Amino acid sequence: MSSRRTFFRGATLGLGGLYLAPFIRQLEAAGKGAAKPARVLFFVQGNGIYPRDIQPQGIEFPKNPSKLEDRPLDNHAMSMSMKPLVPWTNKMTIIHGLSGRIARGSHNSGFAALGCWPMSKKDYGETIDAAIARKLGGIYPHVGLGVSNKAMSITYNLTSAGKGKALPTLLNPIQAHKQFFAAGTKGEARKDFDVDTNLLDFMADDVKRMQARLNGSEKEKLERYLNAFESMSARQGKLGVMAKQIASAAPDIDPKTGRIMESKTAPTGVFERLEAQFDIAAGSMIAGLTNVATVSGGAGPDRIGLSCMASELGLKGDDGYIGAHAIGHGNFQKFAGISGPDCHAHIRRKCLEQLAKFIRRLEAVPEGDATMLDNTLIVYLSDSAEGHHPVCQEWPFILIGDLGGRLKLGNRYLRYPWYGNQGHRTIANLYLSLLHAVGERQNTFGIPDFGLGDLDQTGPLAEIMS
Amino acid sequence: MPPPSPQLVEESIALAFRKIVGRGPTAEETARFQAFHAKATTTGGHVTAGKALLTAVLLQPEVLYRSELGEGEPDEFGRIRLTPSEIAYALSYSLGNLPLREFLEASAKGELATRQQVSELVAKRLVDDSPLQDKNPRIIQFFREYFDYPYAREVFKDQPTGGKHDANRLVADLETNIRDVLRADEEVLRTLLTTRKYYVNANYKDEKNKGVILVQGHHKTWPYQTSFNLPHDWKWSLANQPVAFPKNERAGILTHPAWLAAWSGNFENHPVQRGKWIRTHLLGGTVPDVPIGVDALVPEKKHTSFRDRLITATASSKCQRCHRKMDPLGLPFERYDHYGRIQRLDAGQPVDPSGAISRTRFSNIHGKFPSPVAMIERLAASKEVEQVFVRYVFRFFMGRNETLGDANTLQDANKAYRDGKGSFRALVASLLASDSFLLRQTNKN
Repeated sequence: MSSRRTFFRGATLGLGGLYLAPFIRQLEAAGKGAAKPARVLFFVQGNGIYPRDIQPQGIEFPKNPSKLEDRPLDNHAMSMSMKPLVPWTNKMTIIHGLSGRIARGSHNSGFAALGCWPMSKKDYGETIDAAIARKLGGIYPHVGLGVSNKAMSITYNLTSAGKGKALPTLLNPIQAHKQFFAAGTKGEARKDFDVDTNLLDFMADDVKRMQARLNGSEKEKLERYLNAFESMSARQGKLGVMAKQIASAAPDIDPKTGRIMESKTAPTGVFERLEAQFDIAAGSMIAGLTNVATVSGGAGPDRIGLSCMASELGLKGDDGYIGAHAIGHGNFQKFAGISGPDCHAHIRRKCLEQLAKFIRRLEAVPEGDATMLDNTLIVYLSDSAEGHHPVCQEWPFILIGDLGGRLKLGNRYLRYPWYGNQGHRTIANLYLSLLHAVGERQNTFGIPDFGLGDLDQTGPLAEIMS
Repeated sequence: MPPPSPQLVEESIALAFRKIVGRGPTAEETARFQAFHAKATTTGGHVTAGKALLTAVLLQPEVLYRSELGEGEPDEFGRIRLTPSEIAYALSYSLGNLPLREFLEASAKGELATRQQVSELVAKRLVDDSPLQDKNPRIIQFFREYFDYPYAREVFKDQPTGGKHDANRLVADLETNIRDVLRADEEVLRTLLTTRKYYVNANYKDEKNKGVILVQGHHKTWPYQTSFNLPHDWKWSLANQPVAFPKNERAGILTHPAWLAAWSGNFENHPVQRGKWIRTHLLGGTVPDVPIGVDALVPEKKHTSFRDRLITATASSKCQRCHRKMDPLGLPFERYDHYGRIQRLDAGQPVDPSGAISRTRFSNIHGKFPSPVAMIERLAASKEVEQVFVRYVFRFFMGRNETLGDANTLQDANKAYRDGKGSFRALVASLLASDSFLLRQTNKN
């Protein structure tokens, strides 16, 4: 495995040097202990994370705690669904007890889960992933990828850059691969990329021609349209010169994952697609295309999580369709001989297995004195908080990594005082911590929960700030 | 697949333009798109180039933005006329949501060249004898936006004891009234403001084999009629629709429960907003928004009517600067509760529904009134109120505020409405054939 730094040095000999020079300086500085790169991956799974399901063994889980619990994680065995993350226990932080009542939805909160506002407001403002993306920048400031049981190739479900500015989640790995890595490919895909470049230039030229005939506010309206083409065109240029580096980071994706079938009798392929999407997320980070990615596993306003066939989970017994809605509704339903909550745990385990592969890929790339994983934070949550029909008084979070030491995370179990008690905190406070860590020092995020009355809802979580 | 001949490429460009942009390409555009196709073919082969060509047409600014650039030389005032096809689209979207064939055909035949032609064509299009009045959906849309009664659906209320508040039904019933008035097309504003006949749980419906007929809105709505103060044992029948109400109880839209609920709070009336609506929408005045830092709250106080509580809360001269323009116009509606039902008592006190019109430029309508009905009668009879209404119609159909340069258009529109004995269609036809609609000011003067 070659180091990214040395690879980039080689690349500076070419035309790429112009574009890459600032980036390389940053990386070299990172090696000397100055500002390190920062990357964040959000993994948002639908259908809730049951707090007791992820509870490490041997840590009691009292009702309505009134005090903050802060203890190390190691020495505690992980539950079945958490097993895939065990190798990174010393980088893991489990946070219990944050509330997010303001975002409360019936099956899902969608944008509100990352935005902290009432779910019905949809793309009401800037979500946390978009805010971090704005701060960290990149050729693609934000990469949105996901998996759905519906035969769709794109959805707008979790991320928004501002009011009415929902960002897309690409649901088809093949299309996503083409979108991010076409510049690094050869043959037909590369030709498509070059024709796209022609097209964008042609359009920018066309819009300018039209604009010349206008005046005043009409001209301004078209300005935005023109800017869109010009910025995309500029991006094509940058991607073009990064071709080699993109080619080396581009993952191989099974073409089968591009065929999305809605079936309740045959394999759904959701986990293969999820694996492919994590590969693409990793590839786009390694290639230096983005610093922030959000991967959705059946999350969003019209989704309830991932459904699959029992055999896809490796369950023995009668194969049958495990519907995410059905398992959310209780114990009485048995699939392949096991209960709803058990299926729920098996699906999480399968998802976390894919996440583990993403982690390994980053871990394998050296960066500065450490690896890419060390400068990355993974935030795992459900947009349906703690359950299928969430109350949102307790919204579990699992974090891996510490963002290059910017946060005091790793080998920690934190449980905040229960909703309404002194010292209780909300998910907005966690998001504020992330913002502070990347240098955006704001004091409030989203809309406060009026149900909490006088409790302080401002500022980051002091316990995790370095 | 063999590469396409240059002729086929040219035909494809023309076809794509006609299908997507709605017009044929100019010679200059054909040449430019051909050049683009040729370049893309060199880069990525003709299949990819074909796709890119289609994409380029789909991404044309004209597809996303409707342009009104006009053509020809500016007149003596620096104004140029929209092109016939721009006029056809502008007319179509003024009346509905789709390009209308009759306007597009007329534009192709050169029949949108004069004001007279446009006016006649629009007048013909506006004829609509269906009780549903849905041929030109933007016509009823104006009334929705002007009176804003559909907002009743957004105002959350608990159910009243012994009654039933059904905002959807109230809005649907009021629209049945409005459809009737639009179909008759006589003294539209005055009738809307003063009718004593209201539909209660009755809507027009397009029934198979029967055409559009009046039907009962819903069978299980008891005691919905109490919103109109009809008794609990009131029976719905087709024969008693629309229901006639006593002359002194209610008058027109402003006393319809849908409008009253739309301009109310969750628990109480909202005389300030109601007064503001009359001040701006009927009297043509302005009221600034609540200043920052003002806690606009009417304090709770036992045994004191809402009227008295509001008067106390806004008594200071700072508040009065604006409130004197709104409260006297809104307080007569204390005759009704926030569900729109008549109330005799408020907090145990007999209701005082008196009010006043003052501080307008039309002193002939100034005066004090003992009830909302008396005030509305005076407003509905006023020529000046009619002129303000015409302004609002102008703003809706032009999509902008009026300027000094639009004076002739407004006067013509008002005259058309008057000459047509309050015909809304005549008013709209006049506006859509006006210079304000057909010409655009250029900066080349």
